[in-house]
Amino acid sequence: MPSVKRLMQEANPVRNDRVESEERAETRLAELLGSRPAEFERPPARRRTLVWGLAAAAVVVVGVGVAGAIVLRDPAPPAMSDQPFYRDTAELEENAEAIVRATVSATRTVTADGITETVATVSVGKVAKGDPKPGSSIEIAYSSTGPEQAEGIRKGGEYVLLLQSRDATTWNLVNTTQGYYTVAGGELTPTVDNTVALSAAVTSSLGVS
Amino acid sequence: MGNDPPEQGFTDLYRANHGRVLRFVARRVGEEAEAEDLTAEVFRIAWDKSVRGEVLTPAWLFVTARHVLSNHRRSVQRGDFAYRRLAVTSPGGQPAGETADLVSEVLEQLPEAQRDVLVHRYWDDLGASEIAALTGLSVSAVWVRLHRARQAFKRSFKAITEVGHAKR
Repeated sequence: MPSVKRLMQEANPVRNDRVESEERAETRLAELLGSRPAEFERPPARRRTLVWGLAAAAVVVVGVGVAGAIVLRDPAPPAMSDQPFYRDTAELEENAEAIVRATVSATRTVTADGITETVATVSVGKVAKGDPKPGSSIEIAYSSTGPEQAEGIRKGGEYVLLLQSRDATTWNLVNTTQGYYTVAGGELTPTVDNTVALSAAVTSSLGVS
Repeated sequence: MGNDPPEQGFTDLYRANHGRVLRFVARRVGEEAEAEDLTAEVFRIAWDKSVRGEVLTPAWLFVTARHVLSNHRRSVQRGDFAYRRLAVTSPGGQPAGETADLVSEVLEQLPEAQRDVLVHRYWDDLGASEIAALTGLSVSAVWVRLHRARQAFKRSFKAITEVGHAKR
């Protein structure tokens, strides 16, 4: 049987290699911005404020015209994030099916159906939550391409991992920002974009601070 | 990008994603002119937010496109799975034929959640974080769902093709 990816792509009703009308798209863009974007010059700061004040006012006027036709909720997630985040400690720990302190013993890259992932084999030291047993080895899979990579995970590194079960043998990180904390000298370091700390109960049971 | 004027960031976002959003919408409405109008609406909302200082992502565009489609469907009382009624064409514009029919049949048999994740990934060409934004799942849960959907697709495809062979 051909791969699922190939079958699906062959049956795609609007193919992604279709050539769109760039001219029409640029015209629409120019209409939105009120002039051709390629010709924009950056005005001095004070004038810029005035220009954007006027632009904002113009958009509000246009917006009033369409507001009656379209009722929208603000889409989730917040515009600043491209990946779901857990907002606080309780939510993060609740969404993890397992929380373990573990050392990465090996990594390998696997590609299936066009998706490339890194699979890390980790030796579990301590367990704060979930099924993994201390002294066992488990496998963690995460994307090797695109924005959702767990770039800080390295062979030989020690981490506290927050996991969700993928299947009988493999686990996923809850997300690639909050799914791991680096352990060094018994202290935890979250990833740069992660402001959520783990609870005292979890850090205590894992022997970290 | 933080100190750039809004038109610069918006223009980059627009040029990188206009085609993707247009195709996303076209798969669900089936008429090109209608798809272009709805896509324009998505970017009009995006521009409005950009002017107010919000930094938008591609994922936000697809979530907004879904809301715009949803409102549009309510206004024309149309069902949710218009993409299933689209004429499937090959790159040369010819009907893709048996494969497309089989895939349609398989997709119809899958649970909605599995069908949607396959369509988002392989037709809409969305990344896991974009699918996560659309579905409300975590990125890792998207991979789990995609993995299970592929398995279910294979089982269904095999069953359908075996029945087809048996009838011949």
